[in-house]
Amino acid sequence: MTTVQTSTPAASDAEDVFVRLRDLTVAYGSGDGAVYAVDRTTLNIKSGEFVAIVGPSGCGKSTLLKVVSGLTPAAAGRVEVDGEEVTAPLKIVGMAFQSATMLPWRRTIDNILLPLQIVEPHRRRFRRDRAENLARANALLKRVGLADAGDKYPWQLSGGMLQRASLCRALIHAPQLLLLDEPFGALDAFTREELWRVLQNLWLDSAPTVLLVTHDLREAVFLADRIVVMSPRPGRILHEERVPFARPRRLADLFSPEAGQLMQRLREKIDHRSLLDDEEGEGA
Amino acid sequence: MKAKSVFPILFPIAIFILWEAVCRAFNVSVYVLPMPSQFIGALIENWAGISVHALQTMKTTVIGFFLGVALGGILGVAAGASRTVYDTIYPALVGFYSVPKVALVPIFVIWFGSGTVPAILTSMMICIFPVLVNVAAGVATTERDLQDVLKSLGASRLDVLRFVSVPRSLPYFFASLKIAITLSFVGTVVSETVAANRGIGTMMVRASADFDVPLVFSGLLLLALMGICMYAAFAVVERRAVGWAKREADFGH
Repeated sequence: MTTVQTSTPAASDAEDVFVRLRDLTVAYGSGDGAVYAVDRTTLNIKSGEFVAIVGPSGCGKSTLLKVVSGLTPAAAGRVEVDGEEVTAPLKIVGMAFQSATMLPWRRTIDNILLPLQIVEPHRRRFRRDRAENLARANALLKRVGLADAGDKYPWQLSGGMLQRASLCRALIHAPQLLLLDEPFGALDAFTREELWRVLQNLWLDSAPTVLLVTHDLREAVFLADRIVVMSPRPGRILHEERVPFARPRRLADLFSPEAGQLMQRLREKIDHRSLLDDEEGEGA
Repeated sequence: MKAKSVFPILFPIAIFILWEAVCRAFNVSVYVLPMPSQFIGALIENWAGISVHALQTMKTTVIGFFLGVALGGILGVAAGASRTVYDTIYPALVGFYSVPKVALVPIFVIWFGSGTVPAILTSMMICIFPVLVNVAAGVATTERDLQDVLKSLGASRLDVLRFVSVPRSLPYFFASLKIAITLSFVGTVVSETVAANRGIGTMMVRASADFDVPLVFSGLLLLALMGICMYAAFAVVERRAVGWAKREADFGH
């Protein structure tokens, strides 16, 4: 009952919807052996909105992200991004994963420039715009606090530094849609909090539409405009919350009573389903 | 320089000294086992004549090696990138590789006459396989995540090959070069012993016909030295080119 009362429900006005999932079902395998990762999910995300998806492990969150990016096909239903049905990988997407997936033979700066070597129209003029590209990459590096790391190789960077670089790479081609699959999942708590601030700044700079998959409720509350709770596999949307805090958010916001109540409501939804579906639920 | 770094040089010297001592102690005939001092002496004494053969063997080996590496590299990328190509060519390749290369030499001689060409071809044939197998392994084991990063940007299969799989397979490639170059010498010498009028192989066959056993051994020594030099050269190239794979501190600063 506490849901969706702080403002009008998101994406009620159709023209502003940037990502639209309608009755989306995703299956691995086919016929009787098919495993359903995502089951009849409908979700609309407004242009420039920051949405977090939370849920237990293996609930199909990551699969959902892959479908939106076009890497994995939908079994049924429909995915639209920017008014077009997604049938193949999109050029307007930036992605970051839990592992930073830097190419170990490239210096950080060249790793960050990689999308420009692939995505048109940057690809065609990659060499000609070298100086401009470098300036852009260096500006991003500076923005995430990695000003001196451009010439280093990935193995010379720490986990937190790699994820900063990974965010830069995801944003270098100014994507309209940013898909983040637990990008901070492998970091320690303090580094993670620092990177939330970094990500918030990046988002405030250019306001791409963001879909973030995470296990971490605090992360979702700190970063997202709206939080969606998914059930265990096959994933369905169980619950939605808007996050009322003003931007830019501060860590102190997470210690407010509203944040506490919000996280508790989210937690209950997740636990409730876990207990029903498998006996290993932690209990509330 | 650390003391340890001279061990690889001391080790063969120690063996040679022991060898020399055993030969002297038991008075071993030069026709059975010449002493190091004898065959090293023969090498220096006959250097003018030997160097012609050595140059020939070196040239033939290197040409055959580069041809074989190019072919092995291209086939390796194709086999690593496509399951169909891999399944199609692999059984045939294994069969082909199982044929002793010395058995091919007479055929090459029928086609091209005796001399340089059969030696180049034998040298090439022998080093295709290790390069191909290694490169295919490097390309085929490209991490899913790395591919996804590129595919999510709309990269084609060719892009994934160019930006990820091929650079990723380079450490495998360079490792295989070190094997291939030593095998390449084997191929050349095998061919030279069967049908050629120049090269270390030819020289050794002639020397053994003349019972000039020290000269046979100096041919062996020279082959070993050339093999070590080429191996070391490719080890240096490897370190410079793909030091990132070994995370060497002196790489990239």
